[in-house]
Amino acid sequence: MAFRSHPSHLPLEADSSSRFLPSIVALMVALLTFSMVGLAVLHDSVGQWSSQIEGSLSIQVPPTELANRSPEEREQALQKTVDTIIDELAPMPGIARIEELSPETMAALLEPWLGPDEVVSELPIPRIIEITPETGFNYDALETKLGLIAPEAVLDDHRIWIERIADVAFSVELALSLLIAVLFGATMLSIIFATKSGFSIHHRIIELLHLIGAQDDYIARQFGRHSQRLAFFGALLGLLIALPISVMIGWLGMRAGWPVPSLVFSPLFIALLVAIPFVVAFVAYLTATRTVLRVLRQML
Amino acid sequence: MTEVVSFRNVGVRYESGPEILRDLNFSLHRGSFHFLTGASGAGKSTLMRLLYLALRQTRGEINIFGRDNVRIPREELPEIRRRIGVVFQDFRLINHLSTFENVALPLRVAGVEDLQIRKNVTELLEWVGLGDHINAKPSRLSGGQQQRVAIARAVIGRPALLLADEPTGNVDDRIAMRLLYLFEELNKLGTTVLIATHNRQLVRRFGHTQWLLEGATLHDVTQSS
Repeated sequence: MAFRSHPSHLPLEADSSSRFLPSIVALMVALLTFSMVGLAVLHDSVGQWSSQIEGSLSIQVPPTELANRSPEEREQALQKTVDTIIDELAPMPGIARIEELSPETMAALLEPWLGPDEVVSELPIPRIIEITPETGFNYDALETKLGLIAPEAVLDDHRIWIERIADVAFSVELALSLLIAVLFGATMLSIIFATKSGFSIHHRIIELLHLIGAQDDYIARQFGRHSQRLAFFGALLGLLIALPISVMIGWLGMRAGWPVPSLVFSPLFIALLVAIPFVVAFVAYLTATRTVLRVLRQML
Repeated sequence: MTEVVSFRNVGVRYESGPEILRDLNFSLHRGSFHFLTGASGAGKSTLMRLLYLALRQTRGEINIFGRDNVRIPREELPEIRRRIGVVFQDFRLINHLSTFENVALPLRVAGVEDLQIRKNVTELLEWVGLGDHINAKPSRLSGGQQQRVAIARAVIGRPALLLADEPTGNVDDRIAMRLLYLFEELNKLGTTVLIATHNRQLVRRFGHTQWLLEGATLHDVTQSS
Protein backbone atom coordinates (compact mmCIF):
# COMPACT_ATOMS: atom_id res chain seq x y z
CA MET A 1 0.00 0.00 0.00
CA ALA A 2 1.70 3.21 -1.22
CA PHE A 3 0.95 6.05 1.14
CA ARG A 4 2.96 8.76 -0.61
CA SER A 5 4.04 8.63 -4.21
CA HIS A 6 4.80 12.34 -4.74
CA PRO A 7 4.93 15.49 -2.62
CA SER A 8 1.65 16.74 -1.23
CA HIS A 9 0.57 20.22 -2.29
CA LEU A 10 -1.81 20.53 0.59
CA PRO A 11 -0.41 21.18 4.07
CA LEU A 12 -2.80 18.65 5.54
CA GLU A 13 -0.35 17.45 8.19
CA ALA A 14 -0.63 20.83 9.93
CA ASP A 15 -4.38 20.47 10.46
CA SER A 16 -5.89 20.04 13.87
CA SER A 17 -7.99 17.33 12.22
CA SER A 18 -4.77 15.50 11.35
CA ARG A 19 -3.84 15.43 15.00
CA PHE A 20 -7.13 14.13 16.33
CA LEU A 21 -8.00 11.68 13.55
CA PRO A 22 -5.37 9.02 14.43
CA SER A 23 -6.38 9.25 18.12
CA ILE A 24 -10.07 8.81 17.29
CA VAL A 25 -9.33 5.95 14.90
CA ALA A 26 -7.00 4.33 17.47
CA LEU A 27 -9.72 4.48 20.13
CA MET A 28 -12.34 3.13 17.75
CA VAL A 29 -10.11 0.31 16.52
CA ALA A 30 -9.15 -0.62 20.10
CA LEU A 31 -12.86 -0.88 21.00
CA LEU A 32 -13.50 -2.69 17.73
CA THR A 33 -10.74 -5.21 18.55
CA PHE A 34 -12.07 -5.77 22.09
CA SER A 35 -15.55 -6.30 20.66
CA MET A 36 -14.26 -8.73 18.03
CA VAL A 37 -12.25 -10.69 20.60
CA GLY A 38 -15.29 -10.68 22.91
CA LEU A 39 -17.53 -11.88 20.10
CA ALA A 40 -15.07 -14.63 19.18
CA VAL A 41 -14.73 -15.79 22.79
CA LEU A 42 -18.49 -15.81 23.29
CA HIS A 43 -19.16 -17.57 20.01
CA ASP A 44 -16.52 -20.20 20.71
CA SER A 45 -17.61 -20.71 24.33
CA VAL A 46 -21.28 -21.13 23.39
CA GLY A 47 -20.21 -23.61 20.72
CA GLN A 48 -18.21 -25.59 23.27
CA TRP A 49 -20.99 -25.58 25.88
CA SER A 50 -23.56 -26.61 23.29
CA SER A 51 -21.47 -29.47 21.98
CA GLN A 52 -20.75 -30.62 25.54
CA ILE A 53 -24.42 -30.55 26.45
CA GLU A 54 -25.53 -31.91 23.09
CA GLY A 55 -22.94 -34.67 23.43
CA SER A 56 -24.86 -36.43 26.21
CA LEU A 57 -28.38 -36.99 27.38
CA SER A 58 -29.80 -39.12 30.12
CA ILE A 59 -32.86 -41.17 30.97
CA GLN A 60 -34.12 -41.32 34.52
CA VAL A 61 -36.00 -44.46 35.52
CA PRO A 62 -37.78 -43.63 38.79
CA PRO A 63 -38.96 -46.31 41.19
CA THR A 64 -42.31 -44.53 41.75
CA GLU A 65 -44.48 -47.49 40.71
CA LEU A 66 -42.52 -49.88 42.96
CA ALA A 67 -42.64 -48.07 46.30
CA ASN A 68 -44.71 -50.79 48.06
CA ARG A 69 -42.35 -53.63 47.08
CA SER A 70 -39.38 -54.94 48.96
CA PRO A 71 -35.95 -53.47 48.12
CA GLU A 72 -34.91 -56.71 46.35
CA GLU A 73 -38.07 -56.88 44.25
CA ARG A 74 -37.85 -53.19 43.50
CA GLU A 75 -34.25 -53.50 42.33
CA GLN A 76 -35.07 -56.48 40.15
CA ALA A 77 -38.03 -54.72 38.54
CA LEU A 78 -36.00 -51.55 38.03
CA GLN A 79 -33.12 -53.52 36.50
CA LYS A 80 -35.56 -55.22 34.16
CA THR A 81 -36.96 -51.88 32.98
CA VAL A 82 -33.44 -50.47 32.52
CA ASP A 83 -32.35 -53.51 30.52
CA THR A 84 -35.48 -53.33 28.34
CA ILE A 85 -34.87 -49.63 27.65
CA ILE A 86 -31.22 -50.25 26.73
CA ASP A 87 -32.07 -53.24 24.53
CA GLU A 88 -34.83 -51.38 22.72
CA LEU A 89 -33.02 -48.11 22.22
CA ALA A 90 -29.51 -49.34 21.38
CA PRO A 91 -30.37 -50.25 17.74
CA MET A 92 -31.88 -46.81 17.10
CA PRO A 93 -29.99 -44.82 14.47
CA GLY A 94 -27.93 -41.93 15.86
CA ILE A 95 -27.09 -43.53 19.20
CA ALA A 96 -23.36 -43.91 19.55
CA ARG A 97 -23.38 -45.32 23.08
CA ILE A 98 -26.02 -46.25 25.64
CA GLU A 99 -25.27 -47.63 29.10
CA GLU A 100 -26.52 -47.53 32.61
CA LEU A 101 -24.70 -45.42 35.15
CA SER A 102 -23.16 -48.02 37.47
CA PRO A 103 -24.42 -48.23 41.11
CA GLU A 104 -20.88 -47.36 42.26
CA THR A 105 -20.82 -44.20 40.19
CA MET A 106 -24.30 -43.28 41.43
CA ALA A 107 -23.26 -43.86 45.02
CA ALA A 108 -20.14 -41.76 44.54
CA LEU A 109 -22.20 -38.95 43.00
CA LEU A 110 -24.76 -38.99 45.81
CA GLU A 111 -22.39 -39.51 48.69
CA PRO A 112 -21.87 -35.79 49.44
CA TRP A 113 -25.65 -35.44 50.01
CA LEU A 114 -26.78 -38.84 51.22
CA GLY A 115 -23.76 -40.19 53.05
CA PRO A 116 -22.09 -43.64 52.72
CA ASP A 117 -23.13 -46.08 49.99
CA GLU A 118 -24.84 -48.50 52.42
CA VAL A 119 -27.58 -45.93 52.90
CA VAL A 120 -27.82 -45.21 49.18
CA SER A 121 -28.41 -48.86 48.35
CA GLU A 122 -31.42 -48.92 50.66
CA LEU A 123 -33.09 -45.83 49.26
CA PRO A 124 -35.44 -45.82 46.22
CA ILE A 125 -32.95 -44.01 43.98
CA PRO A 126 -33.82 -43.68 40.28
CA ARG A 127 -31.59 -45.45 37.77
CA ILE A 128 -29.78 -43.35 35.19
CA ILE A 129 -29.08 -44.39 31.61
CA GLU A 130 -26.52 -42.29 29.75
CA ILE A 131 -26.79 -41.88 25.96
CA THR A 132 -24.13 -40.41 23.67
CA PRO A 133 -25.93 -39.29 20.52
CA GLU A 134 -24.40 -38.74 17.09
CA THR A 135 -24.87 -35.61 14.96
CA GLY A 136 -28.40 -35.30 13.61
CA PHE A 137 -29.87 -37.54 16.28
CA ASN A 138 -33.70 -37.55 16.36
CA TYR A 139 -34.73 -36.63 19.92
CA ASP A 140 -38.44 -36.77 19.15
CA ALA A 141 -38.22 -40.37 17.91
CA LEU A 142 -36.35 -41.33 21.08
CA GLU A 143 -38.90 -39.60 23.29
CA THR A 144 -41.78 -41.37 21.54
CA LYS A 145 -40.16 -44.78 21.73
CA LEU A 146 -39.22 -44.33 25.37
CA GLY A 147 -42.85 -43.41 26.15
CA LEU A 148 -43.96 -46.72 24.71
CA ILE A 149 -41.31 -48.83 26.49
CA ALA A 150 -41.39 -47.18 29.91
CA PRO A 151 -43.91 -44.33 30.34
CA GLU A 152 -42.56 -43.56 33.83
CA ALA A 153 -39.02 -42.91 32.50
CA VAL A 154 -37.99 -39.28 32.06
CA LEU A 155 -35.75 -38.10 29.21
CA ASP A 156 -33.42 -35.24 30.13
CA ASP A 157 -32.36 -34.01 26.71
CA HIS A 158 -31.04 -30.55 27.74
CA ARG A 159 -32.60 -29.01 24.66
CA ILE A 160 -34.40 -26.36 26.67
CA TRP A 161 -31.08 -25.33 28.21
CA ILE A 162 -29.36 -25.30 24.87
CA GLU A 163 -32.18 -23.17 23.45
CA ARG A 164 -31.97 -20.74 26.33
CA ILE A 165 -28.19 -20.49 26.13
CA ALA A 166 -28.45 -20.09 22.35
CA ASP A 167 -31.05 -17.32 22.75
CA VAL A 168 -28.91 -15.39 25.25
CA ALA A 169 -25.75 -15.96 23.23
CA PHE A 170 -27.46 -14.88 20.02
CA SER A 171 -28.70 -11.67 21.68
CA VAL A 172 -25.23 -10.87 23.04
CA GLU A 173 -23.60 -11.74 19.70
CA LEU A 174 -26.11 -9.54 17.89
CA ALA A 175 -25.44 -6.69 20.33
CA LEU A 176 -21.68 -7.09 19.85
CA SER A 177 -22.07 -7.23 16.07
CA LEU A 178 -24.15 -4.05 16.18
CA LEU A 179 -21.52 -2.45 18.41
CA ILE A 180 -18.83 -3.41 15.87
CA ALA A 181 -20.94 -1.89 13.07
CA VAL A 182 -21.52 1.29 15.11
CA LEU A 183 -17.81 1.58 15.91
CA PHE A 184 -16.91 1.08 12.28
CA GLY A 185 -19.51 3.66 11.25
CA ALA A 186 -18.24 6.14 13.86
CA THR A 187 -14.69 5.68 12.54
CA MET A 188 -15.88 6.43 9.03
CA LEU A 189 -17.84 9.48 10.22
CA SER A 190 -14.68 10.78 11.94
CA ILE A 191 -12.79 10.42 8.67
CA ILE A 192 -15.54 12.22 6.75
CA PHE A 193 -15.59 15.02 9.33
CA ALA A 194 -11.78 15.35 9.28
CA THR A 195 -11.76 15.38 5.48
CA LYS A 196 -14.46 18.04 5.29
CA SER A 197 -12.76 20.20 7.89
CA GLY A 198 -9.46 19.81 6.00
CA PHE A 199 -11.27 20.77 2.85
CA SER A 200 -12.67 23.96 4.35
CA ILE A 201 -9.30 24.88 5.92
CA HIS A 202 -7.50 24.41 2.59
CA HIS A 203 -10.26 25.67 0.40
CA ARG A 204 -8.08 28.38 -1.16
CA ILE A 205 -5.28 25.97 -2.04
CA ILE A 206 -7.80 23.51 -3.46
CA GLU A 207 -9.34 26.31 -5.50
CA LEU A 208 -5.87 27.29 -6.72
CA LEU A 209 -5.08 23.72 -7.79
CA HIS A 210 -8.49 23.60 -9.46
CA LEU A 211 -7.86 26.86 -11.34
CA ILE A 212 -4.39 25.94 -12.56
CA GLY A 213 -5.85 22.85 -14.18
CA ALA A 214 -5.70 20.07 -11.60
CA GLN A 215 -8.17 17.29 -12.28
CA ASP A 216 -10.64 16.53 -9.49
CA ASP A 217 -9.09 13.07 -9.08
CA TYR A 218 -5.66 14.62 -8.51
CA ILE A 219 -6.94 16.77 -5.63
CA ALA A 220 -9.13 13.99 -4.22
CA ARG A 221 -6.20 11.55 -4.25
CA GLN A 222 -4.17 13.94 -2.08
CA PHE A 223 -6.91 13.95 0.55
CA GLY A 224 -7.40 10.23 0.08
CA ARG A 225 -3.73 9.40 0.68
CA HIS A 226 -3.60 11.73 3.67
CA SER A 227 -6.68 10.16 5.30
CA GLN A 228 -5.43 6.70 4.40
CA ARG A 229 -2.08 7.36 6.10
CA LEU A 230 -3.65 8.81 9.25
CA ALA A 231 -6.29 6.08 9.48
CA PHE A 232 -3.71 3.34 8.99
CA PHE A 233 -1.44 4.61 11.74
CA GLY A 234 -4.40 5.27 14.04
CA ALA A 235 -5.77 1.77 13.44
CA LEU A 236 -2.33 0.22 13.92
CA LEU A 237 -1.95 2.09 17.21
CA GLY A 238 -5.41 0.96 18.36
CA LEU A 239 -4.61 -2.64 17.47
CA LEU A 240 -1.24 -2.49 19.23
CA ILE A 241 -2.99 -1.21 22.36
CA ALA A 242 -5.92 -3.67 22.26
CA LEU A 243 -4.07 -6.87 21.36
CA PRO A 244 -1.65 -7.04 24.32
CA ILE A 245 -4.51 -6.18 26.69
CA SER A 246 -6.66 -8.95 25.19
CA VAL A 247 -3.77 -11.43 25.39
CA MET A 248 -3.07 -10.41 29.00
CA ILE A 249 -6.75 -10.85 29.97
CA GLY A 250 -6.69 -14.26 28.25
CA TRP A 251 -3.51 -15.26 30.05
CA LEU A 252 -4.90 -14.15 33.43
CA GLY A 253 -8.10 -16.02 32.63
CA MET A 254 -6.21 -19.20 31.84
CA ARG A 255 -4.31 -18.87 35.12
CA ALA A 256 -7.64 -18.47 36.92
CA GLY A 257 -8.91 -21.62 35.21
CA TRP A 258 -11.22 -20.07 32.61
CA PRO A 259 -11.50 -22.01 29.39
CA VAL A 260 -9.93 -19.73 26.74
CA PRO A 261 -11.30 -20.68 23.33
CA SER A 262 -8.84 -21.87 20.72
CA LEU A 263 -10.51 -19.65 18.09
CA VAL A 264 -8.80 -16.57 19.60
CA PHE A 265 -5.43 -18.05 18.69
CA SER A 266 -6.47 -19.36 15.28
CA PRO A 267 -4.53 -18.01 12.25
CA LEU A 268 -7.79 -16.93 10.59
CA PHE A 269 -8.85 -14.78 13.55
CA ILE A 270 -5.35 -13.28 13.92
CA ALA A 271 -5.33 -12.53 10.16
CA LEU A 272 -8.72 -10.86 10.59
CA LEU A 273 -7.35 -8.62 13.36
CA VAL A 274 -4.18 -7.83 11.41
CA ALA A 275 -6.35 -6.89 8.42
CA ILE A 276 -8.19 -4.19 10.44
CA PRO A 277 -5.65 -1.36 9.80
CA PHE A 278 -5.57 -2.18 6.11
CA VAL A 279 -9.34 -2.31 5.83
CA VAL A 280 -9.73 0.93 7.81
CA ALA A 281 -7.04 2.61 5.65
CA PHE A 282 -8.69 1.45 2.45
CA VAL A 283 -12.14 2.59 3.55
CA ALA A 284 -10.61 5.91 4.71
CA TYR A 285 -9.09 6.42 1.26
CA LEU A 286 -12.40 5.71 -0.45
CA THR A 287 -14.38 7.85 2.00
CA ALA A 288 -12.02 10.81 1.71
CA THR A 289 -11.75 10.74 -2.07
CA ARG A 290 -15.52 10.42 -2.50
CA THR A 291 -16.16 13.26 -0.04
CA VAL A 292 -13.70 15.56 -1.82
CA LEU A 293 -14.96 14.63 -5.27
CA ARG A 294 -18.52 15.40 -4.21
CA VAL A 295 -17.50 18.87 -2.97
CA LEU A 296 -15.26 19.55 -5.99
CA ARG A 297 -18.09 18.72 -8.38
CA GLN A 298 -20.01 21.64 -6.92
CA MET A 299 -17.25 23.94 -8.24
CA LEU A 300 -17.32 25.11 -11.84
CA MET B 1 -6.28 37.37 -36.50
CA THR B 2 -7.16 34.37 -34.28
CA GLU B 3 -9.57 35.12 -31.48
CA VAL B 4 -8.41 33.71 -28.17
CA VAL B 5 -11.42 35.04 -26.29
CA SER B 6 -14.62 36.70 -27.40
CA PHE B 7 -17.51 38.12 -25.34
CA ARG B 8 -20.95 38.73 -26.87
CA ASN B 9 -23.54 40.64 -24.79
CA VAL B 10 -22.21 39.13 -21.60
CA GLY B 11 -23.81 40.06 -18.29
CA VAL B 12 -23.14 38.88 -14.73
CA ARG B 13 -25.27 39.22 -11.64
CA TYR B 14 -25.02 37.52 -8.29
CA GLU B 15 -28.32 35.92 -7.31
CA SER B 16 -31.10 38.49 -7.64
CA GLY B 17 -28.84 41.57 -7.32
CA PRO B 18 -28.14 44.13 -10.05
CA GLU B 19 -25.88 43.30 -12.97
CA ILE B 20 -22.23 43.78 -12.02
CA LEU B 21 -21.17 43.48 -15.65
CA ARG B 22 -23.49 44.40 -18.49
CA ASP B 23 -23.41 43.96 -22.28
CA LEU B 24 -19.72 43.17 -22.55
CA ASN B 25 -18.60 42.84 -26.18
CA PHE B 26 -14.92 42.43 -26.89
CA SER B 27 -12.32 40.05 -28.30
CA LEU B 28 -8.79 39.21 -27.30
CA HIS B 29 -6.72 38.25 -30.32
CA ARG B 30 -3.69 36.02 -30.31
CA GLY B 31 -0.57 37.95 -29.31
CA SER B 32 -2.49 41.06 -28.21
CA PHE B 33 -1.75 43.06 -25.04
CA HIS B 34 -4.51 44.83 -23.11
CA PHE B 35 -4.80 46.81 -19.94
CA LEU B 36 -8.06 46.73 -18.00
CA THR B 37 -8.53 49.67 -15.69
CA GLY B 38 -11.31 50.82 -13.44
CA ALA B 39 -12.00 51.92 -9.90
CA SER B 40 -12.09 49.43 -7.05
CA GLY B 41 -15.36 47.49 -7.17
CA ALA B 42 -15.91 48.25 -10.86
CA GLY B 43 -15.95 44.53 -11.65
CA LYS B 44 -12.37 43.95 -12.88
CA SER B 45 -11.92 40.84 -10.72
CA THR B 46 -15.32 39.49 -11.77
CA LEU B 47 -14.34 39.87 -15.42
CA MET B 48 -11.02 38.14 -14.69
CA ARG B 49 -12.91 35.28 -12.99
CA LEU B 50 -15.04 34.86 -16.08
CA LEU B 51 -11.86 34.68 -18.16
CA TYR B 52 -10.11 32.08 -16.02
CA LEU B 53 -13.28 29.96 -15.86
CA ALA B 54 -13.98 30.39 -12.17
CA LEU B 55 -17.37 31.94 -12.88
CA ARG B 56 -20.08 31.66 -15.51
CA GLN B 57 -21.97 34.55 -17.07
CA THR B 58 -25.66 34.90 -16.33
CA ARG B 59 -26.32 35.90 -19.93
CA GLY B 60 -24.53 36.31 -23.23
CA GLU B 61 -21.91 34.15 -24.90
CA ILE B 62 -18.25 33.63 -24.13
CA ASN B 63 -15.96 31.79 -26.51
CA ILE B 64 -12.59 30.74 -25.22
CA PHE B 65 -10.04 29.14 -27.54
CA GLY B 66 -12.88 28.79 -30.01
CA ARG B 67 -15.23 26.95 -27.66
CA ASP B 68 -18.46 28.10 -26.05
CA ASN B 69 -17.63 28.11 -22.33
CA VAL B 70 -21.00 26.73 -21.18
CA ARG B 71 -20.77 23.79 -23.58
CA ILE B 72 -17.33 22.61 -22.50
CA PRO B 73 -17.72 19.31 -20.59
CA ARG B 74 -16.51 19.60 -17.00
CA GLU B 75 -13.78 16.99 -17.44
CA GLU B 76 -12.26 19.07 -20.28
CA LEU B 77 -12.07 22.29 -18.26
CA PRO B 78 -8.71 21.45 -16.55
CA GLU B 79 -7.07 21.07 -19.96
CA ILE B 80 -8.34 24.51 -21.01
CA ARG B 81 -7.36 26.08 -17.67
CA ARG B 82 -3.79 24.86 -18.23
CA ARG B 83 -3.65 27.12 -21.29
CA ILE B 84 -4.49 30.11 -19.10
CA GLY B 85 -1.88 31.59 -16.76
CA VAL B 86 -3.24 33.64 -13.88
CA VAL B 87 -1.45 36.06 -11.57
CA PHE B 88 -3.83 36.51 -8.67
CA GLN B 89 -4.14 39.78 -6.83
CA ASP B 90 -3.19 38.07 -3.55
CA PHE B 91 -0.57 35.84 -5.28
CA ARG B 92 -2.04 32.67 -3.72
CA LEU B 93 1.35 31.12 -3.06
CA ILE B 94 1.36 27.96 -0.98
CA ASN B 95 3.23 28.80 2.18
CA HIS B 96 4.58 25.35 3.01
CA LEU B 97 6.07 24.89 -0.45
CA SER B 98 9.41 26.32 -1.60
CA THR B 99 9.70 28.89 -4.39
CA PHE B 100 10.67 26.04 -6.70
CA GLU B 101 7.65 23.90 -5.78
CA ASN B 102 5.25 26.83 -6.04
CA VAL B 103 6.42 27.57 -9.56
CA ALA B 104 6.48 23.87 -10.48
CA LEU B 105 2.87 23.38 -9.39
CA PRO B 106 1.18 23.78 -12.83
CA LEU B 107 3.69 21.36 -14.37
CA ARG B 108 3.19 18.78 -11.60
CA VAL B 109 -0.58 19.06 -11.99
CA ALA B 110 -0.13 18.51 -15.74
CA GLY B 111 1.99 15.42 -15.09
CA VAL B 112 5.25 16.76 -16.56
CA GLU B 113 8.33 14.65 -15.74
CA ASP B 114 10.58 15.67 -12.86
CA LEU B 115 13.67 16.23 -15.02
CA GLN B 116 11.80 18.60 -17.32
CA ILE B 117 10.26 20.41 -14.35
CA ARG B 118 13.68 20.91 -12.75
CA LYS B 119 15.14 22.34 -15.96
CA ASN B 120 12.24 24.67 -16.82
CA VAL B 121 11.61 25.99 -13.31
CA THR B 122 15.30 26.66 -12.60
CA GLU B 123 15.67 28.55 -15.89
CA LEU B 124 12.54 30.62 -15.30
CA LEU B 125 13.50 31.50 -11.72
CA GLU B 126 16.89 32.70 -13.00
CA TRP B 127 15.07 34.77 -15.60
CA VAL B 128 12.83 36.51 -13.05
CA GLY B 129 15.84 37.11 -10.79
CA LEU B 130 14.98 34.54 -8.11
CA GLY B 131 17.74 32.05 -8.85
CA ASP B 132 19.12 32.53 -5.36
CA HIS B 133 15.76 31.89 -3.68
CA ILE B 134 14.84 28.52 -5.13
CA ASN B 135 14.42 26.83 -1.75
CA ALA B 136 12.99 29.81 0.13
CA LYS B 137 9.48 29.60 1.48
CA PRO B 138 7.14 32.47 0.45
CA SER B 139 7.13 33.86 4.00
CA ARG B 140 10.88 34.55 3.65
CA LEU B 141 10.41 36.58 0.46
CA SER B 142 9.60 40.26 0.05
CA GLY B 143 6.31 41.39 -1.57
CA GLY B 144 8.03 41.98 -4.91
CA GLN B 145 9.75 38.60 -4.82
CA GLN B 146 6.46 36.88 -3.99
CA GLN B 147 4.88 38.66 -6.92
CA ARG B 148 7.60 37.38 -9.24
CA VAL B 149 7.06 33.84 -7.95
CA ALA B 150 3.34 34.23 -8.69
CA ILE B 151 4.17 35.48 -12.22
CA ALA B 152 6.67 32.67 -12.78
CA ARG B 153 3.98 30.15 -11.74
CA ALA B 154 1.53 31.76 -14.16
CA VAL B 155 3.90 31.55 -17.14
CA ILE B 156 5.75 28.28 -16.48
CA GLY B 157 3.25 26.31 -18.53
CA ARG B 158 3.70 28.70 -21.50
CA PRO B 159 0.04 29.76 -21.46
CA ALA B 160 -1.72 31.04 -24.54
CA LEU B 161 -3.55 33.58 -22.39
CA LEU B 162 -2.01 35.38 -19.42
CA LEU B 163 -4.30 37.17 -16.98
CA ALA B 164 -2.89 39.34 -14.20
CA ASP B 165 -5.12 40.89 -11.56
CA GLU B 166 -3.43 43.96 -10.06
CA PRO B 167 0.07 42.49 -10.49
CA THR B 168 1.71 45.78 -9.55
CA GLY B 169 -0.50 46.51 -6.58
CA ASN B 170 2.05 45.79 -3.84
CA VAL B 171 5.31 46.93 -5.38
CA ASP B 172 6.99 50.25 -5.99
CA ASP B 173 7.03 51.87 -9.44
CA ARG B 174 10.50 50.60 -10.31
CA ILE B 175 9.55 46.94 -9.72
CA ALA B 176 6.14 47.53 -11.32
CA MET B 177 7.88 48.70 -14.50
CA ARG B 178 10.16 45.66 -14.46
CA LEU B 179 7.16 43.35 -14.13
CA LEU B 180 5.36 45.01 -17.01
CA TYR B 181 8.47 44.67 -19.19
CA LEU B 182 8.45 40.99 -18.25
CA PHE B 183 4.86 40.70 -19.47
CA GLU B 184 5.85 42.45 -22.69
CA GLU B 185 8.61 39.88 -23.21
CA LEU B 186 6.08 37.08 -22.82
CA ASN B 187 3.71 38.87 -25.18
CA LYS B 188 6.44 39.03 -27.82
CA LEU B 189 6.63 35.22 -27.57
CA GLY B 190 2.97 35.04 -28.65
CA THR B 191 1.10 35.06 -25.35
CA THR B 192 -2.11 37.09 -25.19
CA VAL B 193 -1.91 39.34 -22.13
CA LEU B 194 -4.63 41.07 -20.16
CA ILE B 195 -3.60 43.04 -17.10
CA ALA B 196 -6.17 44.45 -14.68
CA THR B 197 -4.85 47.45 -12.79
CA HIS B 198 -6.12 50.65 -11.26
CA ASN B 199 -2.72 52.34 -11.85
CA ARG B 200 -3.58 54.34 -15.00
CA GLN B 201 -0.42 56.42 -14.72
CA LEU B 202 1.70 53.33 -15.15
CA VAL B 203 -0.45 52.11 -18.01
CA ARG B 204 0.07 55.36 -19.97
CA ARG B 205 3.80 54.62 -20.25
CA PHE B 206 2.98 51.56 -22.42
CA GLY B 207 1.33 51.88 -25.78
CA HIS B 208 -1.16 49.04 -25.49
CA THR B 209 -4.94 48.88 -25.72
CA GLN B 210 -6.62 50.23 -22.61
CA TRP B 211 -10.10 49.33 -21.49
CA LEU B 212 -11.96 51.08 -18.74
CA LEU B 213 -14.59 49.23 -16.77
CA GLU B 214 -17.10 51.78 -15.55
CA GLY B 215 -20.82 51.60 -14.85
CA ALA B 216 -20.68 47.83 -15.34
CA THR B 217 -19.75 48.26 -19.00
CA LEU B 218 -16.47 48.26 -20.86
CA HIS B 219 -15.09 51.32 -22.69
CA ASP B 220 -12.07 51.47 -24.98
CA VAL B 221 -10.03 54.41 -23.71
CA THR B 222 -6.86 53.81 -25.70
CA GLN B 223 -7.31 56.95 -27.80
CA SER B 224 -8.28 59.23 -24.96
CA SER B 225 -5.20 58.38 -22.88
